[in-house]
Amino acid sequence: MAPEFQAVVHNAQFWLQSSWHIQAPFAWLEACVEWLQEEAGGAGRLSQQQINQQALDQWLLADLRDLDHPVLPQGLAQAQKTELIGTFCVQVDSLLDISQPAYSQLQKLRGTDCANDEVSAVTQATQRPWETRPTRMLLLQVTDGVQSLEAMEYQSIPALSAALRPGVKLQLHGNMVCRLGVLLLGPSNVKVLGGEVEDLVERNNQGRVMCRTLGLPDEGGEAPSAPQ
Amino acid sequence: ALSSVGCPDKAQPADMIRNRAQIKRVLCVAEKNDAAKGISDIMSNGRFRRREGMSKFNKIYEYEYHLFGQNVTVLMTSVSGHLLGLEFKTPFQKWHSCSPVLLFDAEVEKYCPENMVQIKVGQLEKEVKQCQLLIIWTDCDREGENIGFEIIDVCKAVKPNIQVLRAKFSEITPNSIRRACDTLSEPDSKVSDAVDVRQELDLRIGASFTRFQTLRLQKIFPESLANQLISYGSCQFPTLGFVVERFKAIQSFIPETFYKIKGMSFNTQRNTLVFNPTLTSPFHLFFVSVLHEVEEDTVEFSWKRNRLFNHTACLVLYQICMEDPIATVTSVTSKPKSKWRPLPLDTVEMEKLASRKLRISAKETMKIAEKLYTQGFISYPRTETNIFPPNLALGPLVEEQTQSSVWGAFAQRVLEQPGGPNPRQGKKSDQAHPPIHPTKHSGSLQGNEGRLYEFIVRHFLACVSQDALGQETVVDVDIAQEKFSTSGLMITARNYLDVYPYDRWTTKLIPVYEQGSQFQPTAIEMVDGQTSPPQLLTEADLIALMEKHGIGTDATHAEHIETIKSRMYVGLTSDQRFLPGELGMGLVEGYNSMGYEMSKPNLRAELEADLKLVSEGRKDKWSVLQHHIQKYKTVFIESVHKAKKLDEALSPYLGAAQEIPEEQQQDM
Ligand SMILES: [Mg+2]
Repeated sequence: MAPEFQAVVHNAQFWLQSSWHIQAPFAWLEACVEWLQEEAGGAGRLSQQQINQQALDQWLLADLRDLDHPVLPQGLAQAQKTELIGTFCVQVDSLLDISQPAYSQLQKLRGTDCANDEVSAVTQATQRPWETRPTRMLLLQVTDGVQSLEAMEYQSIPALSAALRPGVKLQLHGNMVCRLGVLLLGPSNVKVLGGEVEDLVERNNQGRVMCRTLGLPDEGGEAPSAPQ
Repeated sequence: ALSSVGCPDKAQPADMIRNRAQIKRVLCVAEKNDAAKGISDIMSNGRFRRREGMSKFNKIYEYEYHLFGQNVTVLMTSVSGHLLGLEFKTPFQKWHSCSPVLLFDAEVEKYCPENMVQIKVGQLEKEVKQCQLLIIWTDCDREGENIGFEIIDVCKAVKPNIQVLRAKFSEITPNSIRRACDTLSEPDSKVSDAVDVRQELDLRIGASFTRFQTLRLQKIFPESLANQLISYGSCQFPTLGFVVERFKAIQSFIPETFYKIKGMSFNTQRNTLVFNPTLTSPFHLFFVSVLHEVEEDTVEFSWKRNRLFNHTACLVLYQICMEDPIATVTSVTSKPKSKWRPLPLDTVEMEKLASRKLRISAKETMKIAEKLYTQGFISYPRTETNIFPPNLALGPLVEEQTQSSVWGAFAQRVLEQPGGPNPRQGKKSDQAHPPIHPTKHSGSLQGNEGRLYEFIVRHFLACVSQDALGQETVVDVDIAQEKFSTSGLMITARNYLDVYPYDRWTTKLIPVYEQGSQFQPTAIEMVDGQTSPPQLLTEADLIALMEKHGIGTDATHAEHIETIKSRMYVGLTSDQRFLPGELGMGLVEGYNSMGYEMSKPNLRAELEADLKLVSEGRKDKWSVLQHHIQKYKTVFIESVHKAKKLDEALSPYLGAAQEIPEEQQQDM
């Protein structure tokens, strides 16, 4: 490889690290830049800035398992109780709101939820003030490509939503408690970088995650017998 | 054809009478004998002469009355509900006489059923001959108006020049009856038209589908259905549909385990009674008696997150709490809280409450209420109104109840409260009848009659009294940043609750907590539980659904429910909840699989809405009739095409379907 090409890859690696805290392994980035240049019609067609940006886009769409480059401290998922300090970019494989039954979420998703199910003759149902609607708690399956663990929305994080695409990349930073293989996240710990992973989008869409949780057959996302 | 005298401006009733001077004898006709007797009793001050009519159930009461400024002789008699029925003309009456699809267009006619002939001939045709004026005293609702026109028709057939007036009343009480006599008006043909349309649609739709499905299914499942009538009705099926829908929702429900954290703290209030010295209500004493029921050893703090459907996630939070199990009180708020007195009683609410609180079915409730009404104990029980009209004097009604040894003292309290009776007001009015209320006191009614009457009285007194008042204290605490909360309630004035045992509101005492203080909970526990499916429908639930979707009217809910029970489409569990039977399940599944929402409420609800427009004169009788006949006919034809789906849906329940040769299929 030409030293010039090596420099371009190095620059991109440095840019991803310094601007985004993304650690892209050199070998993967090399292949990536080579491909980008080929697609653009030859070396020199793309500026360093364009290469940086396009390499970021590729990383966001990559399955971090393919990069095989651990960033989280080893044994994090096994620790009873520890703290994670620093900035780490990870991938969300799947997610589910665990404050609500999966069954009712699935019905809502499929539009088979039935308002009649809630009708009862009780005319004066007084809701007690402290029984407010439970706040959402998303539970995320995250991975750095090598180590997988769970992360929970310990405090409400407006940047997250159940509609995030499986494979989306997050930047985690700050001091985060990790217990029993679960990272506790608050709004200051999370930045959504974007992206997705094509086959996770299919495999871990909300409907399928809910079906798996309920022990329902997974295929096609069809309900076995949706209530009428 | 009924003659309708269009008289839009409400002229003085007396003006509508062409020859007042010639009126010597007046025939009055009520809907039932009880009502005729009650009204006669009032109009004659108890001095009527009673004689037998040709029908032994319908007496004739004769007395003098001062009407239009002159003395007239009144003959008061009655019918027994509808006098006429609607039927197909003879060629179409027999089940095999024609293909069921023809029933959408076949000629129909009104006829007098055999058991009504004596009334028609003996009470009406005979008596009207010597009368110059006919006054209709049937119930003031749609069916009553239609029965009125049946009576008018019969009378005019024998005495074409008879003059006709309508009495309007909501109660059989002296005031109400006198007012009705002073404000006689025209009978309302629009309201009656709506009933004609409903009757004709029910006949055509019911007969066509019933014949079709009965004839077909008897052949296909001869072993189980050979002698069974499999009726269809456009109200019945959506009603059945609700029962099946709920059953299926339960069947397909998947329970899930959840976990929660709960905090406990010793209740130091256990044997202490704390009075707020600023309160002066005499009902403080009540606390003493209920204290032992409500006191508990511990105060429970509930988790603001309520529950989580993941064991590890909950365990993580639980461990955090257990590492630092000190509770810090973050806020203590105390605010007044009231429990609202009930709304004035309408029919649907009465049926629902009687079913839930008294365990009396809707059908039974209506039967009893009707009797109480004709005996003058309560106002007309079929009403959609839950607002008392301003001109209805509530004072005397409450006063009447002060005679009671049971709730008399409460009635007295209502009279003495500042401003007197003060009804909570709802939002609905049918512009015809006031909310259901007692019209006179009775201390002698027995059994369910007595229980329903007591309920109506207590409900009435409750709704004109005052809301119950209390002071609620909410305490928020943090344990290791997890938020928990508890609340206490001090009832400061029971007010309406003193007369209304059907509502419960209980004092819950908790210790005094101070903001910023800390304490160690006696226990912090992680507990689990399971989600559970909705329950099978109760009768009250079913009525709520019918009302929500516009199936039937408040007057007919109970009947439709009774029909699906008597057809064995549904049964009742031991705790009085509706369970669909196999035939009911199969029929609903079959029609659903055809893709028409026949067990769904939409079709019928549109029909019901159009009937209302007809009764208000905003839509034309014939166009509404034609529109809905066409609509149901289209669905019928498609259903016949797809009839195999019905067989398929039923065979899991009734066994294998018999094959039917092609040529026989054609007949069906
Ligand atoms: Mg009636």
